[in-house]
Amino acid sequence: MPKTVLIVEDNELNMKLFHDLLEAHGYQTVGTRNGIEAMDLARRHRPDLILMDIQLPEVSGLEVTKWLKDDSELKSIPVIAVTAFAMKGDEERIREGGCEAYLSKPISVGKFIETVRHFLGNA
Amino acid sequence: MGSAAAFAPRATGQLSVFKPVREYIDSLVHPSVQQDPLAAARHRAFIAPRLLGSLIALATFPAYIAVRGVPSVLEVVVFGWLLVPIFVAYFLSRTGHYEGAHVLSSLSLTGLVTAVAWNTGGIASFAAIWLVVVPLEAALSASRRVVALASTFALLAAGFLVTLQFVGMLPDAAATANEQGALAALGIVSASLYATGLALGAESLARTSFWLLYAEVDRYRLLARNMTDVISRHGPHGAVLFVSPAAEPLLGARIGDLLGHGFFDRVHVADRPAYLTALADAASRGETRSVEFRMRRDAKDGKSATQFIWVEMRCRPLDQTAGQATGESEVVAVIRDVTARKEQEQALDDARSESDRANAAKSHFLATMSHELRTPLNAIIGFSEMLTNDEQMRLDAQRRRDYAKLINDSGHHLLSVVNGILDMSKMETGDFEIMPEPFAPAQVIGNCCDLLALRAREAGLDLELRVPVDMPNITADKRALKQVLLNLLSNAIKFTDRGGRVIVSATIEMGRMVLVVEDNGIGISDSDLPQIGNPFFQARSAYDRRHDGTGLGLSIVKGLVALHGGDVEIKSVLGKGTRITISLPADCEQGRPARIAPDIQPAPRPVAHQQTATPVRKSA
Repeated sequence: MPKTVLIVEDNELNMKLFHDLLEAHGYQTVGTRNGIEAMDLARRHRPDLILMDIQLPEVSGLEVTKWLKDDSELKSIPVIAVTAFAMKGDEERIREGGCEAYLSKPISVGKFIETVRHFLGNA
Repeated sequence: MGSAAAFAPRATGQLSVFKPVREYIDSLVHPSVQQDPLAAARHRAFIAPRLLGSLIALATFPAYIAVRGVPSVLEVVVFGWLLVPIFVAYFLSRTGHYEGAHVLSSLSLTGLVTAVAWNTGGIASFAAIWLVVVPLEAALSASRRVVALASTFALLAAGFLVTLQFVGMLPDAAATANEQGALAALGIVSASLYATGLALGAESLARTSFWLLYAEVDRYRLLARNMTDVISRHGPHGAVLFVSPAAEPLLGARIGDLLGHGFFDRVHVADRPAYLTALADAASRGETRSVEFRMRRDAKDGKSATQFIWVEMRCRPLDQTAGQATGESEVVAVIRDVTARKEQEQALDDARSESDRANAAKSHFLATMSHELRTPLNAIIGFSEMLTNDEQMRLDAQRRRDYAKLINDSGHHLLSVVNGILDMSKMETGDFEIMPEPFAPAQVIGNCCDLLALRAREAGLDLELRVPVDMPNITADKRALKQVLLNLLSNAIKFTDRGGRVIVSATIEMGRMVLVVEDNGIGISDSDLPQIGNPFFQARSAYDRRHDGTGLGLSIVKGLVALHGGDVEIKSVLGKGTRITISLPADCEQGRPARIAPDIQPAPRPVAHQQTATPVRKSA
């Protein structure tokens, strides 16, 4: 059974990019551009990994990560922050916010897949 | 000393003949008391009469011999004894030992009187009355010990004379009754004269000390009057007992109004605790305290508004020993106007925080720019990398075409962000040129609405256009107007929730075109309203931004409108909606300054969210 990745990303093009990349490597994806919906999807689909954009409408990705990590059933799901916040100090702050990994945009496809594999193994 | 000079001229005027004598006697005063005017006066009063008296007595000796013939042994001894005061005077001059000199003087006088009385009838002698003078003379020393000693000498001498008479060791009185009467008179008169001299000396000393005290007080009064710093004395609980005249110009109040609690009433309410604490600490702990506070200054004419000045007060207990004895002493304070320094510090502080703010805004602007550039770059690089490995990714031709289109879209988006930044920067430096031309505004407005109609529909919004069909032409930069409207519409759409509506209306009235974009979206809070449209916005926190965008949209609108000589008015109620009114001259070439610096504030403060739009499609 293929591993499922939940993509939380509010930019349509980037959402398509991550979806196509993951699908091409044999993973299943669920996507949302909204942080609140992300919680529902996480509960419903129990994904094996979550890709989290940080700047989101309504609620920031960091806030959603905090909710996930405060949830006893969901906190074991690794969260990879994929964000365009790439200034000095951003990675530290985002990791401190509970994300297991941090990828800055623009991503390198190779490193992206490598990071996903690190958490999920080969599909 | 200045004080001596203050009252000396009268004396020197009268005594100019005796100037050399005065100077000589001054030179005899012991160095240890030269700096103390009162003690020096006492020394002079001791030395002068003794030197002069003894010299006069010696000078009269030849005349005495001429009248009396060959002197008796006693007479020689007496005259010899008259030299003793000279030695006593020099003793004082050399040692500076004032009490000792007095004791020596008393001893010598007692000895002289006793010797004369012994040979002229004992206690009944005309000379015995001089024993009274001995303690009187000692009184000038202002020392009880010396007076006690002198009295003891006089009493012992009297007792000695009585004893001599009792044991019959007195020599026979050679004088006749007539002579005895004359001698008694001489004794009483001379003793009285000497006592008068002593009394005059005492009076002179008292006057000297009074003048010295007066001069001292006068000097301090002069100091207090001429200092710009205020000196004050505070009683228990800080009540003002004295305040120097400098307070009048400082506070614009009369001294009388500052006494008691009048001073406290002028201390700024917020600074009163600090003021009272400083006074109380100084009074109870006996330490010097310094405090800065604001005080009310009344305007001179009583009309203009009162102002507050900054003062620094240094206070310390008036008398530390008294303070320790009673637990609470009076406090003396020096108060100084430090308004200028405070204003400088404030200006420096303001400049620093202003520059900090500008710096923070700049860093934030950079961070946001980085974010806005990286987002489309992610799609460009990601999809192009996939295209490069199309075989590995098993991409069919359709996919490849899709990706190429996505890359193209992202590139355009990126370009628009870069253009926005460039436009903004041009407007900031004043390099942005507009090219006015006559055109029909209704058509341009309609075009803009068409461009964004799809996005409004996707967002579940009702986009309504209210423009009269017969709207006359206006003269403006067509491209700029389009950009203004697109920015405002994108904002309205972005910040309005599903089910809401956006209304665009335009009219031409009194030579101006009024363009209104109104929504019933999330609105802008009052506190954020003044910051809206600042190019370097700052979100509540970067990660909390609810809506993306560069924040340049509205600032570009403001800049473009200003270049046309128009106004932007933003009205908004949080949660109810926003109404932005643009007013442009119908012909922007009329009355437009050659070049208008755009109305752009380079130093923003934090803004909770940004009302932004880049003039392009946002792929959300």
